Amino acid sequence: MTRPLKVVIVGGGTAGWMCATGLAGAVRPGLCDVTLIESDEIATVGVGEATLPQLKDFNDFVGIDEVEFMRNSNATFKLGIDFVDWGKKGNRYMHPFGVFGQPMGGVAFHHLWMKAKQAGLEHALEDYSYPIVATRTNRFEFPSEDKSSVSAAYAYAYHFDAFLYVQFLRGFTQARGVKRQEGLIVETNLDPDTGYIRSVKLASGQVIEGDLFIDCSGFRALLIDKAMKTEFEDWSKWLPNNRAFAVICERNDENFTPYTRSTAREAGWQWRIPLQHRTGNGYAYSSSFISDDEARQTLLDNLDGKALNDPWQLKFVSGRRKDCWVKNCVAIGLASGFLEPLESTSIYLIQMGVIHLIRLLPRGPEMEPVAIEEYKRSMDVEYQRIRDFLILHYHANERDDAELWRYTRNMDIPDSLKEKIAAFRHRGHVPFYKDGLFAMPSWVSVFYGQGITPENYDPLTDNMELEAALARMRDMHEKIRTHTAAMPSHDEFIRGYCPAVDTEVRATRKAGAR
Amino acid sequence: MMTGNRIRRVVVVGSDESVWLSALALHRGFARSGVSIEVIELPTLLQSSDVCATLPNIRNFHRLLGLDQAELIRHCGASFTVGQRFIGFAEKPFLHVYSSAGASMKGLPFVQAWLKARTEGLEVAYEEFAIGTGLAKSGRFAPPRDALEAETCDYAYHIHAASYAGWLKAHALHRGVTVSSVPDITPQVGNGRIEAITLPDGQRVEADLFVDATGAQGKLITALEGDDFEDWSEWLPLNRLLVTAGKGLSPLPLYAQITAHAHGWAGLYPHQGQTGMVMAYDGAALSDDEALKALVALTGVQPTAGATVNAFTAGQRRTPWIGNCVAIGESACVLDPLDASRLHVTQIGLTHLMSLFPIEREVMPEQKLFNDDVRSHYERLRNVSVVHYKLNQRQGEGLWHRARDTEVPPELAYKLRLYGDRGLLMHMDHESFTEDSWHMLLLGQGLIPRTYDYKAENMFSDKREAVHRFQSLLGGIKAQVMTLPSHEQALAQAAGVSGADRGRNATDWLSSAAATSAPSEVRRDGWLRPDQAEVWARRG
Repeated sequence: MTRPLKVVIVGGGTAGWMCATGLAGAVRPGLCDVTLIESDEIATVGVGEATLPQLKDFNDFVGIDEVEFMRNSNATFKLGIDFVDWGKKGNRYMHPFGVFGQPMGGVAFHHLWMKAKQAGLEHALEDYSYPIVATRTNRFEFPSEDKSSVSAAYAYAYHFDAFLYVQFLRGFTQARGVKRQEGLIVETNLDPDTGYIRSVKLASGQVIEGDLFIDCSGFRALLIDKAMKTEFEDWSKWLPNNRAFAVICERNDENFTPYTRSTAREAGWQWRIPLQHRTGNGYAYSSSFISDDEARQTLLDNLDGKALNDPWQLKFVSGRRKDCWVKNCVAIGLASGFLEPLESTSIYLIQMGVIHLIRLLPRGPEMEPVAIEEYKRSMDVEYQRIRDFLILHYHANERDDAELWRYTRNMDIPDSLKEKIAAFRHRGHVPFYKDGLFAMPSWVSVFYGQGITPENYDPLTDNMELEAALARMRDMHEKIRTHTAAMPSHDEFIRGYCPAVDTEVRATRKAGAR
Repeated sequence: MMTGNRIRRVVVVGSDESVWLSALALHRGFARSGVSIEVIELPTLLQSSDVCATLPNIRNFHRLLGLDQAELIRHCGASFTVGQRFIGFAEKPFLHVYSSAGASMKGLPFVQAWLKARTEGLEVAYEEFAIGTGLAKSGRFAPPRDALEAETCDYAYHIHAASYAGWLKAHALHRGVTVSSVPDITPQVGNGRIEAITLPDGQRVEADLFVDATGAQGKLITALEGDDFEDWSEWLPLNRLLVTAGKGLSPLPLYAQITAHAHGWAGLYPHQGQTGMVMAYDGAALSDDEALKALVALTGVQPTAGATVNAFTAGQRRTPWIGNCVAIGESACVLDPLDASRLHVTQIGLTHLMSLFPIEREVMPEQKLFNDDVRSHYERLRNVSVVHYKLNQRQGEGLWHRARDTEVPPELAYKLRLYGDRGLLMHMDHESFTEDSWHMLLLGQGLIPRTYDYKAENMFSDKREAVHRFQSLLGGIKAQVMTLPSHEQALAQAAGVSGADRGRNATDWLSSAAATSAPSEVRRDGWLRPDQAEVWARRG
C-alpha cells in the first residue's frame, strides 16, 4: 500500500470512540490514519450502561487496564440480569453469566435436573448457577483460574457511566495517534461517478476527506441514512418499545447489587444499573401503551433512592439498516440499528461492529465487495440472534394486566423463534450455534424464567444412574453454597480493587445538554 | 412425564458397519431405559479388499460406544493415519493432515502469520507447520498422551472393513442386541410410516422406530412418500468405484495417498496386512479394465486380490428422517470417498439420532430438527470434496476442465471468494473439518489469498524475528517427531494398551454426544510449547 488508509469516524459517542480505540489498538501506525469528528454541542446518550462479558475481551484486545478503566468510569461488576415481574406478576428470575451445573453423560444439566426433581431433589435449577447464588447476597470476586472448580463456572461484565467511559476512551485513544476534530458536519460530498463519500464539510467550512467513513452519529445516521439513503428494517411490530425516560438516583447502600435489574411494567420495563456512587434508572416503554407523563411518573415512583436530576427522554425505533456497509460507508452503533437494552446488547453490538470492521478493513481506497458482504453477513447473524432472544421475553408471558402484554403474547413471532420455543417445550432442546450471542444457559434461564417448561427431558438422561447423579448434584450444590459464602461482598471488592476517582454525576450534565 | 406412548422397540435394517454402529449407538444410549434394539441383517456388501478410511472424530465416537482402540488394532487390522496426501490435484503435491498448524500469534490465527511471513519471503508450505506433516514424512507416531495433545495432533485409522463389521457385530451381540439374518426384506408402508417389514419367510417385524442402514439403495426410506434424492454429481462428477488390495507396505505409511487421473483418482490406504486400493472414475470415459490398469500404473502397487466395481451417484436424501424411519449412512448421503468422509456420514447421522431420539412413537417433532441439522452437516462435508474438483489445476482434461468451470454451491463459492481475498475462513456451524483442515486444503489446492488481516502487520518487529519464529516452530516439530517410535512400534504398543485413547474424563463417557460429529476445538498453543510463553506474558 502506498499511503495510509484514511478513516474518518463521524460521531464521538461510545460507538465512535470504541471504533477509534479498536483501530488504534489493532492496526499498526502508518497503515491507517484515523480522524474522529465530534461536536461538543451534541450530547452522547449517556445513561448508566450495562454490558456483557465480551467487553472484557475488547478491553484486553486493545490493551485497556481494567482497574484504570473501572476507576475512571465509576464502574461496578455485573453477574447477570435480575428479571422481576416478567412472564407474570410476582415472577422473578436471573439470567446469569454462567452455566447451570455440569453436563453428565452427554446430557445438558437441565435435563438431569428435571429428572432429579421428579425424584425428589429439593433444589431449584438456579441453585446450580454459581453467579446466581453469589448475587443473592450481593457478592463478587473474579472467576477461579482453575477450570475444574465450581467457581470458574461464570464470567462477569460491567456497569459504568457511559459518559465517563467515552471520556476515558478519548484519552486512551488520542495518546495512540487518533486525531480528534471538533466540529458539526453540515454537508456530505459524494463522488458523482461512484457514489462514494469523498468528504464531509464542517460548519467552520473545513472539508475532511477520507477513504472510509464510519457513521457513528447515532440515531441521526448522518451518513448511512442522510447521505447513502439506506433502508431501515423496522422491527417494532415485535419490539414495540420506542421511548425511555432515564434518571440518576442516589445509591442504595442496602442493595449494592452485582447485577442489573429489569422490572416489567405495564407498558415496558424499568432498568436499574448500580454505579459506584449513584444508580442509573430508566423506563423503556411503548408510546402506544402509555403517555409520556405517566411513564415519567412511574419511573420516579419506583426508585430506591432520591432522584438526582429530572428524567430525560430518549426516542428510538427497534430495527436495523438493511445495508450497514454501503460503498465506503460503514455504520456502527445506533446509526446501524437499535435493539432495546433489555439484554444489555448495545455495547456488544458496537464491539462486534468494530471487531468485524477491523477484520475486514479494506486494504486500500477501493472497497472489496466480498469484505462488505462478509461484514453484513456477520452483523446479520448478531442482530437476528439477539432479536429472537429479546422477543422471547415479551412473547412468553401470562400477564393480563396491561395491553402491551396481551399484544406481545398474541403477536406473530419469527419462525426461527417459533421453532426454538417448540423444541424447548417438547424436550428441553436448545440449538447449538458457533457464532452470535446467547448460548444454551441463556436460553434455558429465559425459557424457564418466562414460564416455558419442557414437557419431557432428553431420553438419554435415563441412561444415567439416578442415585449417582443425585449424589453429584448435591455435592455440586454444597460446593456452590460454601464457595459463594466465602466471597467478599460486591461493595468490599470494589472498594479494594477499583474505587472511583471521580464521584461527580456526569450524566446529569448530559441531561441538560439534551 | 414419560408416558406409555414412548419408544419401546427399534429395528435396524441393513448390513456391515453402518448397521452395527447404529445398533451399538442406540443400545448404548437407550437400552438401559428399556428400549430393545433388534437388527435385521442383510447380506454383506463388503469384499475382503475394502478399507474404512476414517476421520479423527471416529475416536470420540468409539469412546462414546465404549469401543477400545487396542482391540481395534488387534482385531481389525487398523493402522494410524494422520492425513491424506494429494498428488496431481494442484501444481505441487500437498498433505492434508488432521493436526493443527503452528500457534496463534498475537491473538491472530496462525494462517495470518503465515500469509504475512510469506510476503517476507517464507517459502515453507502451511502444512509443514502441523506436526502431522512431520509424522507423515518420518513415519513416526505415538498416540497423544492426553486431551491437550490430542487436540493438536489428531489422527484416525485405516481399518479392514470386513473385520471391523465383524468386530462391531460381536460387541453388539455381546451387549444384548438381537439379530436375524435374512437375504432381503420388504417394507410395509401405511400412514406415511413403515408399519412393519416382512421377512422372506413371511414374518412381520414391527417397531416404533426403524433405522434404514441398507446403503445407497435405502430400502426402507425410498418406500416412503416424501423421499427426495438430491443429485450432487454436478459437483462430484465421478460415478464408479473400483476396489482391490495390494500387499502390506513396509514401513507402513501414516497417511493415505490420493493421485489424480485424467478421469478420476486413485487412492492407496495402507493398513496392517494389506493396502487398500481404490479407483474412482467417470464410467463414461473409462472402462473398468482401463480403470484397474490406471490404478496400477498410478500407484505402482500390484493387486493381490480381485477387483470389484460399484456404481455410485453422489447426493443426499433431503429428508433422511421420514415418519418413523431414519436413514443412516449411505442410505442418507453418498459421497465421493476422496476425503475419507464416508464413515463420517454414518457418525453424523447417529450422533444426531442419539441427541434427538424421539420421545413419543406417534408424533416425532424431532424429525425436522434432525433433518435440518443433518442436511447442513452433509452439505458442508460435501463441500470439502468439491474443493478438490473446483480448484484443480490440471490442464487439457475434460473432467477437470468441466469441474473448474462448474458453478459450485453458493455457500462454497462465497467461502472461496472470501478466502481468496484475505485468508478469512468462514467456518460455520455443522462443519466436520477443522479450520486448519480447510487451510491446508485450500492452500494446498493453490488458493493463495490476495492479502491478509491488517492486524498481522504488527506481527513481527522485523524479518529476522519472523524467520526466527517460524524456524523455531519447525525445529519444535522436528524435535518432537524424532522422539517418537515408528508406526509399527506405535501400533504394537497401542495394541497392548487397553483404553489407551482416553483423552477426556473417562467418567463422562458420553461427554457431548451431540458434539462428537463436530471437530474438537483446536487449541493451537498445546503442542508447540514455545509460543505459549508469549500468550501468557501478553495476558500478564
